[in-house]
Amino acid sequence: MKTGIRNGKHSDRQRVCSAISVLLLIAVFLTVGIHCSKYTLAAAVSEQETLSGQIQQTIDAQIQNSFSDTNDLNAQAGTTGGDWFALAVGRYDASLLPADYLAALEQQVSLRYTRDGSLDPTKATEWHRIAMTARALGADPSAFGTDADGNPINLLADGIYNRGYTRPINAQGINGPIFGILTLCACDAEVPDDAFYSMEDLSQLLLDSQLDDGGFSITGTASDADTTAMALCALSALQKHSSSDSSSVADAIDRALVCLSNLQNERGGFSQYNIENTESAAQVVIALCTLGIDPASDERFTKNGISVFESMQTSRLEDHTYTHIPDERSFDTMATNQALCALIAYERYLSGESAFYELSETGLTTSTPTIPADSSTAPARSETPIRAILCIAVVCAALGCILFCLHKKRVRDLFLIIPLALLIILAILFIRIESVDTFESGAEPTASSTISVTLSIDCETILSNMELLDPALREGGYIPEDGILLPKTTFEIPDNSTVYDLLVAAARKYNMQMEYQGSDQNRYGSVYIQGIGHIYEFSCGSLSGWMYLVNNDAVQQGCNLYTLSEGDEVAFRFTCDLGNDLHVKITETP
Amino acid sequence: MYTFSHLHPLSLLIYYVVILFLTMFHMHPLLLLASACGSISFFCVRNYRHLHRRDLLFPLFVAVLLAVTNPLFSHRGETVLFYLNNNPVTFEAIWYGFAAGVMLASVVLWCRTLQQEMTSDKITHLFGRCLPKAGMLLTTALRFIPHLKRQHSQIHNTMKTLGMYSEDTWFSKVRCSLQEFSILVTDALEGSVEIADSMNARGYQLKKHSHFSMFRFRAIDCFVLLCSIITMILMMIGSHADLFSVYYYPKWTMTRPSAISDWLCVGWMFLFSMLPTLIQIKETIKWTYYKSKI
Repeated sequence: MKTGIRNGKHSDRQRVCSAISVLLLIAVFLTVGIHCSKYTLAAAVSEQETLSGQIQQTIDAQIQNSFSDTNDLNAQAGTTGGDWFALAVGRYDASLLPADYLAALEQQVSLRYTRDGSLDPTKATEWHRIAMTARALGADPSAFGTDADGNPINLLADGIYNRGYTRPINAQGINGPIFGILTLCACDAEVPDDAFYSMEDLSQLLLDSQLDDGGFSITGTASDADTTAMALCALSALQKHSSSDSSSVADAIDRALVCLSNLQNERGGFSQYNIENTESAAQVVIALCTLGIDPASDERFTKNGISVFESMQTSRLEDHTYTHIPDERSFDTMATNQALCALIAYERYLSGESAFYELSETGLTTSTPTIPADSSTAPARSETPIRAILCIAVVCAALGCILFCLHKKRVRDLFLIIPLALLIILAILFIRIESVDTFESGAEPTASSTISVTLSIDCETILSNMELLDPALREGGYIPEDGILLPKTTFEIPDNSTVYDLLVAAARKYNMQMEYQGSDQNRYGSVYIQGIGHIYEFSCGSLSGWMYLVNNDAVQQGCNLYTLSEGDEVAFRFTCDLGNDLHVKITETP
Repeated sequence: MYTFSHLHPLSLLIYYVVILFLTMFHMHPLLLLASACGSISFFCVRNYRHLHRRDLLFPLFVAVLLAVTNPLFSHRGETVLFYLNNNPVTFEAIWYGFAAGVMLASVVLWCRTLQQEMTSDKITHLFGRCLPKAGMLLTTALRFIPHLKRQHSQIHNTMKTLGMYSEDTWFSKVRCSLQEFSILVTDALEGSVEIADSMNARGYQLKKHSHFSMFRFRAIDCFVLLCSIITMILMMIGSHADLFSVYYYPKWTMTRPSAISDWLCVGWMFLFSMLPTLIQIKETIKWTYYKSKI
């Protein structure tokens, strides 16, 4: 028998009501969905995406630290600091530069010619750098600025092929020929027949200065990585643009690569005057990308598992600038500029675009970049009030429609609808969705007083119990060869932090997976670490799990209950035998 | 017409046990797919007269629901899609949730068909000799829910004619529903006491109570029983040989089936789960053919 007359036919009012409820539900999901659709399915976060993010961060940080407002950058047009930054950003995204940088540069050139008659008394590289910057931003370096007589300045002639009429191009050292060749090839300029130096002259100058071990040097005695890398860029440009003498150029490149590989130290970095520095590594990265070699994975430039790219990245600070020497804490403008060039060169290599110095691919434009850089891009947090107001408005509108349709005017019926609406609003407001990039680059708040502690994470006991290991973890590099997930690393953490805070900071900084069970899920109020680096409890037998030791002492408390003091050494160790295989003394709770 | 429901209860029970084993004990996607196909098709073929759209949407709904809620609790996988309140939502967690949802949906569908097939007389035939009380309990429990549904609709209609739902406020509706519920519970308790008394009077308590049963062990029963036993053996050998090994965390890897023998095994599982459907279809075709000859 049919279940009843009431449920048999739905009145129109009820249909409208259910339709609106369905629409409301869809609106709720859409709000949440739209918010996270900006960060949709990046199933494999490709290197290029995080690299682009890093480049953008460094550009923003450099603008903030070295060029505090756009006037400052334009004021540095024509100097090493300003031009290299402009050249690098021009090779990445010219719209990030102020629109009038090119005009400021042209003004500088004209000013110097009018005042001094030339850009610089000794260094030909001033012409080279300015010519490349102008070309990267779309201007023509053979007619850039006006000199005292009102004639257009030909930077290429004055700085490169006719430089010999003023001074020899290698008066400042091998940098002159190197950057002369680079600029000529970058601008794809024709050398006229009556020039002082032809392309062959320049390339001969370069090849003659190659030392016996294949490298190049500023001083002329021992090869150094910086100069060799820059010479490699020039040789590569020669290979592409000049047809003559290709075999000796190729041979020179091979020898230089061998020398460069031998110059790499055991930490994957490069030194100048026996000091390991960021700039050398950056120049090597640029050279390798120009030659089509991957600086992050080529075995010739990976020592002890650290590639030159990774070595350069160790100088990267939290605020995305770079130090001069890897272990320093303060940023250095030149190091950041050069590292930025290296990042952009690598990004161009990964996406298959032309090399960093191949400016001839860029079209010549008469107009300068239009949109000035807006250096502060506010994160989504500031949208939250707008979002809240929007969803409250939507929910109220839907409520009004439902009430109108149901012809309900009684207060009592609101008792059901209002809590439901409140629940939906709370859900929308408190669900916070961040993309992988936003989360990983989340700024650590700097506290006023910090203490310095060390943390190490290892799973060495698994190595002797491989037969018990979860088969899903056997392949894929989840268990490192030496069992060390994080070597002893120093951290600066706020005062009164717990071991759990330290672990969270470390996991966030080094992008390690970490899963925990919150303190509200057990009666001790302690946080239980279920897994670090995809190695979970019971992954290696039923007696396995994570334990932590402070100063070699196994603490029998949850990790959020132990407060750290200065100089503590925390070690998270994986045990396969309830702690017995770690051979540590177990103390009672303090 | 000797459809699946005309099988001997023993082979029916063993078939269901094996198919539930197959579904539940390995999270292998191919096995789950086979079982889901088998359960959905058997459910449709069995109930094609009363099919509702919600019956078919149910498996999908459960799978999607679990796919969405599993990442909220499990943060184990490697590919992070986004961070929700500082917890990573990973692709592997979604995939595992979806697989668990499919498993849940197919188990529920198999159990629905089991409820339709395993009538009380079949249970009595199976358990009457050895476990009479347990069998009786099982039957009574299994028949309760449809019985209560029917009772409730009757009570509801009666209440309406008595004028209970005259007011239109939400509060009075809740009050009337509570009253109906208490009537239903009282009715069920009274009914169970009555059933117990009547069964006692009819001699169900006696040890040597005989009952009439019409089930014969036919050739098709032998066939189904044999298939079930072969499937069980194949499953045990397969577990031992890691045939159905699949890891969802930290990275989804499904290395088997790789060889031809693996694929044959999976194919057999697929055919086994489609067995009831095939029997039903075969009988329907035969019956239609015979009817057309009249």
